[in-house]
Amino acid sequence: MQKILRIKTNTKAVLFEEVKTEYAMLGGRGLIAKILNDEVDPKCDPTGPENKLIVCGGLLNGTMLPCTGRLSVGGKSPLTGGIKEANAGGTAGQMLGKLDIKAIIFENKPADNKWSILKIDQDKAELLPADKYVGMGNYALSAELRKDFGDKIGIVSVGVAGERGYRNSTLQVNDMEGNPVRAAARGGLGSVLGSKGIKAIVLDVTGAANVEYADKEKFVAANKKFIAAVKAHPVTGGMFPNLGTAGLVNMINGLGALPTNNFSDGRWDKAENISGEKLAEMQSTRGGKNGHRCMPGCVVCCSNVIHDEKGNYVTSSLEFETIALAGSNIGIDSLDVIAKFDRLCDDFGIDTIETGGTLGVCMEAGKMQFGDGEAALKLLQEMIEGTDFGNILGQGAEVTGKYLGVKRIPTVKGQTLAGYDPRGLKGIGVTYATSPMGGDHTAGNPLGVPTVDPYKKEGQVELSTQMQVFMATCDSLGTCMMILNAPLGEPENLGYFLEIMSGKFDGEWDPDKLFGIGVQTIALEKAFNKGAGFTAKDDKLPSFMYTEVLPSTGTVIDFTEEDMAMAIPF
Amino acid sequence: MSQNNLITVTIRSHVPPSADVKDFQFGKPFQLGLEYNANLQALLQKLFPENIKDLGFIAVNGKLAARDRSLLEGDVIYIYSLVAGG
Repeated sequence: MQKILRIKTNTKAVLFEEVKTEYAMLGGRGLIAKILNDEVDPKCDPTGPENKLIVCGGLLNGTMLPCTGRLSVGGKSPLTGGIKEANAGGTAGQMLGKLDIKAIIFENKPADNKWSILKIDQDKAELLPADKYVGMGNYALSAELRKDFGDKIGIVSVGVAGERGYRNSTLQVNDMEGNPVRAAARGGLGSVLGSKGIKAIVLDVTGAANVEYADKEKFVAANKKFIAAVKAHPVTGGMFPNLGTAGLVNMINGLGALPTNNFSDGRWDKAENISGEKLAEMQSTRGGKNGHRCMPGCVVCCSNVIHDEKGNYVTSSLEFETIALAGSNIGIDSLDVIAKFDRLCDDFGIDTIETGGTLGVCMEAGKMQFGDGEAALKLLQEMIEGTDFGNILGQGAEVTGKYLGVKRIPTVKGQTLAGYDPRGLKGIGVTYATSPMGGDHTAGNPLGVPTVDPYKKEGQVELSTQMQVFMATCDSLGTCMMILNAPLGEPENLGYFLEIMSGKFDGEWDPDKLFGIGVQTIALEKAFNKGAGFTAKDDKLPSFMYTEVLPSTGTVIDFTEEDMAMAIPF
Repeated sequence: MSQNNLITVTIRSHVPPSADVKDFQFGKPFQLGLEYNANLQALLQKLFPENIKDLGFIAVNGKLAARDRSLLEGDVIYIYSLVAGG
């Protein structure tokens, strides 16, 4: 029987609760939206006692469907001031499912200002003193926790950035090798968990039972067919296992939408140096790995392990978004420098996208030159050391840009845009502007649909709406978008997936019922944001993008407020 | 047709061609001879007769290209499938 685990951090009470009937068919992002609407004042201080931090798996977590171990975290975001859900791969999502925990709700603030870790196993959940772990980076923390609790544990942790309340801070989840490299990165939710005095959640599934199915035979049969389709698809069975998401660098550069020098261009003559093809070439001589799994049972394997030129481990996984924001966006064409940047961000516990955007506005302001990798790492070091300017950098690109007097700040609702300039891919412009998540590509990325011209606004609102519903559904199921996005384009594969849902939950499933999960989720999120004070006037892209032509495409943003108001009309 | 009427283009495809391409590897460049007046659509039909619907953005020499674009000697063509991730 699934349960909710509520942690009252002010009294250190750890309580198991029954799952309300109305929560039964909610999971991941959808469940977070519902709980926040039910329990949190949208006008609250994000790092104050009224906000709550929710950690949960999706509806399918713990099942045999591969790539269904995403861990969702959510709360009111210190970065955007609105609702935020961020999710990550790694080991913890599946473990939460196996422990039959539907959600963990952290509330209030510790009265004694003491730090704790939450340890959960099959028999109990308890808060343990965390004094010895406070001040540790995520790598040292992961090693220490594995030494103390065994090397098979799942870990969700905050780095020093989360302890300090930085608005760009993450929650890191360990991968199968124990490295804290899978980040629930966006929205600064690490600082919300930090505000509750929680340094880490430790999960031990020894002896835990497997999840239940309404019709296991039906589930297994459909699952087998769906996996075959995923493996046969050119994206999930070809490009991603071979090149990882870094394979998108040349594609987005070719499209003319690769953020370059703080979003001042969309095509970069050095893009090849940071491409997936270049990365694969480096891997072959250094002992790194493409085709790496971030969670048990993954069949896409888009993760990678990066080694330096001496063959030593540096980081995992180097993703397209990190390469774009910490590469072309700041003029750095060295994958080694970008890998060091990624390692430092994972260890300190900060979002690579937000940090890349922050360094971009610093370069725009003349704090350093575009392309100066050494200077970029030094600024990152200032954040880690907590200098006065480092503390400003830790508040993200918008705060830093305003502090430095920069006019061109690439943010929406306070959050840095990801690796696609919306003037060169207008559908994602609609998503950035209208998603309740703020500027976030994972909210719905309409990339590569040949029937809609990426440089024109026609058809983009509809396309973005479709993708936003799709992603809200994925995020509520706990399913990696990589496994679902391409194969579900085929009606036959969608049929297999509906059978999977029926095998797990019983009843007849059709596309309306499946994607109704996403519609319901977005409606709840919009309701929360309305309560927080957001209006249609906030659904807009950075002002410079409406007037400044993107040289690579010759386009500007030409959506009106009325256009944007037609997106996600739920 | 004489050799003078052929052009050679370089292709980097992230979609496996359904036509036979010797030693094809994802994203690895390979060369192909085409009639001098071939356009992009003709090339795609030649390489992907069974799976042309899987194709998304196509870039020629690093820039998004329309399917009716004429191809020239030395063009480098990137072929991508439908993607919605990253």
